[in-house]
Amino acid sequence: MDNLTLGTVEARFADLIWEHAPLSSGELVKICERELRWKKPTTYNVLRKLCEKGLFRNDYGTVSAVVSRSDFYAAKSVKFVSDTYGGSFPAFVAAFTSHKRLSKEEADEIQRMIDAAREES
Amino acid sequence: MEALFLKLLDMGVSASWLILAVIAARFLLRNAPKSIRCILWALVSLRLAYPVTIPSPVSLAPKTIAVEQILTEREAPLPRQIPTFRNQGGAISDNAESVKPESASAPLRLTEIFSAVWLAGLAVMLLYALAGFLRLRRTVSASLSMGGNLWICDDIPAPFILGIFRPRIYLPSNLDKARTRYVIAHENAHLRHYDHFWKPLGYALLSVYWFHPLVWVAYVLFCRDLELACDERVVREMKLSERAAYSQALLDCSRECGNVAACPLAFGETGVKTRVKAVLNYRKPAFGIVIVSAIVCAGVTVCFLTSPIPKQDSALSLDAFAVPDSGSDGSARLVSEMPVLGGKLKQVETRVHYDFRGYETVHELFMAPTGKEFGIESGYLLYSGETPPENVVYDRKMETVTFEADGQTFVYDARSWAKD
Repeated sequence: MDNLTLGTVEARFADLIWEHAPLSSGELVKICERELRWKKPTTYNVLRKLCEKGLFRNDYGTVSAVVSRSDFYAAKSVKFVSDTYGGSFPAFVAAFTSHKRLSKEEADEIQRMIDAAREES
Repeated sequence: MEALFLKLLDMGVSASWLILAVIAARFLLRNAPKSIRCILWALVSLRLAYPVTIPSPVSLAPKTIAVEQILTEREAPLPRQIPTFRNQGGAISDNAESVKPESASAPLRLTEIFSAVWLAGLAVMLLYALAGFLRLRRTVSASLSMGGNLWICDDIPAPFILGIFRPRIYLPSNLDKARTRYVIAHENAHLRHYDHFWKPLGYALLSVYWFHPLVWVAYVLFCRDLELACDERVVREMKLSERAAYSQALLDCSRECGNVAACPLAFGETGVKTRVKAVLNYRKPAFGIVIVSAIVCAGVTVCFLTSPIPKQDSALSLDAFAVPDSGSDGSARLVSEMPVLGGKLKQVETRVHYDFRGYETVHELFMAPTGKEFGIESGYLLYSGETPPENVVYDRKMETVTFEADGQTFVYDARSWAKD
């Protein structure tokens, strides 16, 4: 269970399930709609992801917990980066940073520039 | 559709000079506030979007012809009476001759193909954008609201704004507090600049002009300048230490983004190094720079957003032409304008309404441009034969038009053409 990580959004969703488990998937959809303003496909998508991670199970429409909340947070790890997003941002989207891979040399060079500025100030 | 495409070609060509001028101005004004660059790109988009220009004597745009094409449908041909020209050394042809219309689909075939290709390209661009938008929207459907228009999501590698009318700022869920502050400031600057409008608008223009390499260059540079302008707005009031912290946030976000596997080269995104440099080296602009920038912007506008006053002196006037006087019985005068496209490659069939002997008639012309590099000058011929004239050559010095038709070579004295 060491490699089980949850992002903030997943954690919130998981908390909802833990709070109400066991429950029918239909009820879960309703709760997510109320609490998170999520549509049905979204709820099912995230549920599927968490079931794949082994946290919950969805048996014929009944959602139950495989790992309890306390057990999970006992071995908590922090998820740093998502590797589920593939593809670039469409050209018309205003993103914060470039999608280009930053080479180590470039990253170090920029870090040096920043550090130099810090010294100066 | 072909008319639209030809019009776009013409507008695109005349915008090329403006784009080059803006690129030069951008370099000259590289120490000026970055928002100046955005103003310059706005001028470019005006030129690309609006077909109307103001003639002005100081225009530096090349003398391309304004393509005001009147799209007439292929109506059923009316019986026409075509005036003919005096064949040098030959007899005047009967000017009451009526000629069957040429079906003349051959000259237009090329234009039709190009127009279809252009339309396909436009569709591809728009579909690509739509697909990307839908994919992104699906990814961020699983996000939590942080109040206002702020949302966090697990599955995105970098912060961004999505949505044109109700824009939302999406943040990756793993941002630490310090970074979050700067990211939100940057994205809010985007919102205040209405970048969530301008960037898609620019992309729409790019989709229309996808065939024009300079427009791509313009869009890439435009996107970069948007980012730089936002950075500038955020760090305007910041001291160096805070600017270093902002740069750190930029760097950290890029580093993480770089970890995403199979990240295709983003389009139109500016390098982090450039932005960090700009942020760290930012200085409040001197008053002089602002003045110079304003002058440059005004200059660019006046010189390139206007079009040159068309020359009236050539025997083959570009704006209007006169049907040669066909005798004492009647005369023909131009009633509506001639559409024209410069360039050596096109042979265009057009229709012109003119008034001949008191009758409003439609006449089909076959023209082959005879121009120089820019294809500015064209020759117009009225010919009463069955087949279109070929190898049309206009000799400016001698003012003669030479062409071949119906197996014969004609030399026509253009001086006898009446000026409008």
